[in-house]
Amino acid sequence: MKVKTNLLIDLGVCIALLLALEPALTGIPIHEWLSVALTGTLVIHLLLHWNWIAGVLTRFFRRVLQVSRLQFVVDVLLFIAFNAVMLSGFLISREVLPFFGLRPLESRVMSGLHSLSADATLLLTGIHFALNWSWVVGVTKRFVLTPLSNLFKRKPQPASAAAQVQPE
Amino acid sequence: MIKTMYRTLMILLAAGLVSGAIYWFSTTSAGQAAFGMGGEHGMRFARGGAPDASGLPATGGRQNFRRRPESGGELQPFGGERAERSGHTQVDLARGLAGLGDELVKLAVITLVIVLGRKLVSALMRKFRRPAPLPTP
Repeated sequence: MKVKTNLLIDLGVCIALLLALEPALTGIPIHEWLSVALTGTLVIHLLLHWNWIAGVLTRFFRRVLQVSRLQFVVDVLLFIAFNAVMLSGFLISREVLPFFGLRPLESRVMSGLHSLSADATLLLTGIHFALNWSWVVGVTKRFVLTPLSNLFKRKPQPASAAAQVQPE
Repeated sequence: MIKTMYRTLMILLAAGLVSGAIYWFSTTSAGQAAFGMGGEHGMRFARGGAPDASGLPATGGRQNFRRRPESGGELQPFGGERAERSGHTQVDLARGLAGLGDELVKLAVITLVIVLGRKLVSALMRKFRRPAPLPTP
């Protein structure tokens, strides 16, 4: 159940991130509100993986798998990049801030930071995805490919049914 | 429940600290210089700069601004990626879908390069690993 929940949340985050990276497709209002929703979903993603985070954090400089250490560093960088993109996006937002009665900043630095951190987020998401590739392949096989192949697999006929259809 | 609330609070606290650090960095002159927006260059960029022979701002603006005939030659933000992300955009399904495909391809390429690279490195390491010495009788 937990693995399935993880898969669904991760799939949702991936699709939402790709959509949020393309404001020309969604328009600015959806781009901004989708990003706000994405933040909430990412908090849930972190909560679901809390045990792993706490485990690696407490044993980071001690005995821990090299891959886990690398994954942790990538995840920390992704967290920083995502914070940067959300902070800069929030400060220059044209829908979310006015919705709360606040005036957005007209800052070129924030626009530059928003663009730069969005690119960094995409790059780091790719690395994060690649470092968890075996998990992705495993759950895709388990929850997508195996049920699909079972759907099209020919069921063996029971012996009694086979005897009934035989001509005398 | 309490544990989840505590963990959520920790995540939000970490996000707040990181955001605060980023905000502080981006509002100081050192941070602005890192993004190429600070100092004299940034000031000239913000003011539009003195026009050169082509009539465009002398610095910075040349990359991000262009004249649009429909606006009577007035300088408008160029419709590049940076301008889109800063909000100068309208919904355009065809361009948006192309952009989405572009982002998807970038993500897939990064992932595949790393996955295949790791597989290649591990295969090479297996191939060239020195065999363990045979046990002596």
